[in-house]
Amino acid sequence: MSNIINQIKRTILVVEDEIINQEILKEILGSQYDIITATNGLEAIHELTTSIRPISLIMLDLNMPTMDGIEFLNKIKEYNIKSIPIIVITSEADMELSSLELGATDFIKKPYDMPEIIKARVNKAIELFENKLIISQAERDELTQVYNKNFFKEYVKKLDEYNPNIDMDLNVLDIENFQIINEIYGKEKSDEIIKYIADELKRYVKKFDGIVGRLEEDYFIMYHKHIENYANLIKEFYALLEEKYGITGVNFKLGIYEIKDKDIETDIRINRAKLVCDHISNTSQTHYLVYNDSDQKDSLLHEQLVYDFPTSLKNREFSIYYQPKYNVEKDKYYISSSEALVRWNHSKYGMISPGIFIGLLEERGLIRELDKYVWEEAIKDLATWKREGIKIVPVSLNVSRIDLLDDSIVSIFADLVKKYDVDSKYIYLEITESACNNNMNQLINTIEKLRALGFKIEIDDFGAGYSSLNVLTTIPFDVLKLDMLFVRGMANNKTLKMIEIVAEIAKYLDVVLVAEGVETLDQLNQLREYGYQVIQGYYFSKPLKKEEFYNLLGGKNDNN
Amino acid sequence: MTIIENLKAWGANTEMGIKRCANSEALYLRLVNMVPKNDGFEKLEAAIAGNNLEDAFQAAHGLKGILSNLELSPLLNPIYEITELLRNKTNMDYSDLMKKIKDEKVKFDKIVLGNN
Repeated sequence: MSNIINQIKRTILVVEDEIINQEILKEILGSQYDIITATNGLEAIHELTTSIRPISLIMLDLNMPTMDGIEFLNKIKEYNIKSIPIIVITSEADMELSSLELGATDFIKKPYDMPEIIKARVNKAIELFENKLIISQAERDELTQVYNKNFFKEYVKKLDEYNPNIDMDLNVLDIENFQIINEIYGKEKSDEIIKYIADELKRYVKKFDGIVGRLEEDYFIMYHKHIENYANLIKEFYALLEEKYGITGVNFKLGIYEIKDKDIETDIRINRAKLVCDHISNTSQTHYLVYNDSDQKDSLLHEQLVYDFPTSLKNREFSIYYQPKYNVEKDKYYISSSEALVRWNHSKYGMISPGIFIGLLEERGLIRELDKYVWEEAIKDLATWKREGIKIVPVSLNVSRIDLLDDSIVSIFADLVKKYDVDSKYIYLEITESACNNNMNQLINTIEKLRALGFKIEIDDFGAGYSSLNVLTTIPFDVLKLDMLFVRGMANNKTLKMIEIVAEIAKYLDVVLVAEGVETLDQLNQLREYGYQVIQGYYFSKPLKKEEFYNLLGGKNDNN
Repeated sequence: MTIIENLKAWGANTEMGIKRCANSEALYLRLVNMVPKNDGFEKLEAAIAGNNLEDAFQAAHGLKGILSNLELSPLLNPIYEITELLRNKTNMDYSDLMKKIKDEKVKFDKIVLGNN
């Protein structure tokens, strides 16, 4: 029996008409159990149907006045109180079979066995019965048939007991943005996906002598022998789901907690694995992280930020910054567009790095609200500047992968440009390359609708993902933006070659080529040489506050 | 002599009886003290006198349970014997057996109540 279960003092109902026999049983069992008594079957039924305390076991004498044990066994079937084990007390060997047939669990002979034996039999009967109940009623998650959290925890304890010296890992797997998948594909398809995943996880943990459970809607938990390298495993897992079941657009995050100390409670282990799992950004190419102690400190801030987000949005703590992009095709450079970037000036914590809050809001399903806010603010700014007679330039707006899964994105943008009377040609929608790993047909359909309305599509962070060429040939787009990691790695000849190849591709596809993260003149010159037309980066300008950018565009405070 | 010693001298397996009471001599003595007042003896006698073998069996069976748990063997033996006969509804003269039971009950009561 588990420790938790052991801590509860259970109640036993002794049904026995002889006080002396009752007293002996009370003495034997009283220290471990609460004993209530009845002197016949009728009294026992009354106790069972009125007792506030749950009764864990009935010890039933067969020979009693008014209603004997056999009659009682027959009777309780009518009262639907079968879920209590019954130990029959009898000196009659020939009564054993009929009692068993009527539902008795075990026997104690009269004269009584030695107290230790009675105790052991009572303990065993309760333990077996409760285990059976737990197993049958609560062991498994209904949909996936993996363990539910409570039972998973019980099995973790068992595995630790049996394998005290084997290194183990506890992992939490998150199916990213599952609530969105649920919304878009519907419950039936989502359930199917969840079941597939659960089946694969079962096969996977089996290889490492482990178990799998379902933590919440879209989180699974696993406990198995330690694995040194998860990279291949994750890759295999993706491949299997995509190739075998045709499931695409589902991303996973795996938080790994390597068990160094088996005295740490399972709940804490799960929390730690979940913590690192939640730290993995939805947009990053990392699909797993291993827990370390500093993760704990970050999590509190993260929870606070998620909690504060709606209020902060309402209080306009989010502001739009614009980073200018310069056209460098000719020797005279000019601002050809900008990228709208969001900053969070938190009322308590001050400026929060986008590196923290963007990923956090993405994983909590809140990014769509922020994106919509940014889109509207930026389009509103364009409208204001235009009204004031400023020569406006197009603005690039970031579109999250989740936004693209939602069909309403087309009408959202159409409504915004209509509301603020801004020509859609001034709106560039930056989608990340990784967004293109979603359902391609739907994505292409959405993009075509947006382009038909005059919006420009810009592929962001190009080269950072793993399906680059495929994206270029399937997604209709207007601008290609090289991932800034390439610019940072320009000292490396291979990287330089890549930058050149990307330039060739853009030329071939006849799209505008942008490089971001440009900080030095050398970088700029090199990129110009390869034919990069538009440059974004600190070499020209950091992201500017709205007013600063307005000035740069030639607003009323312009000093240039 | 103590009650325990007297019961032992009478033929009771007090060691086993005490063990059964979770090794509590106090509990054993308390339960032994309850036996003289147990109405099972009167019920048995009345049922036998009225030739009601079923009631007699119930009474004897109840007594057998108590006496066997307390290991009061001299009283248990005739009770055991009569229980089996009554179980089979044996139609016979029970007076000898009843006398044995009564004689042992007198001895037992004397040990228990006489020392109180």
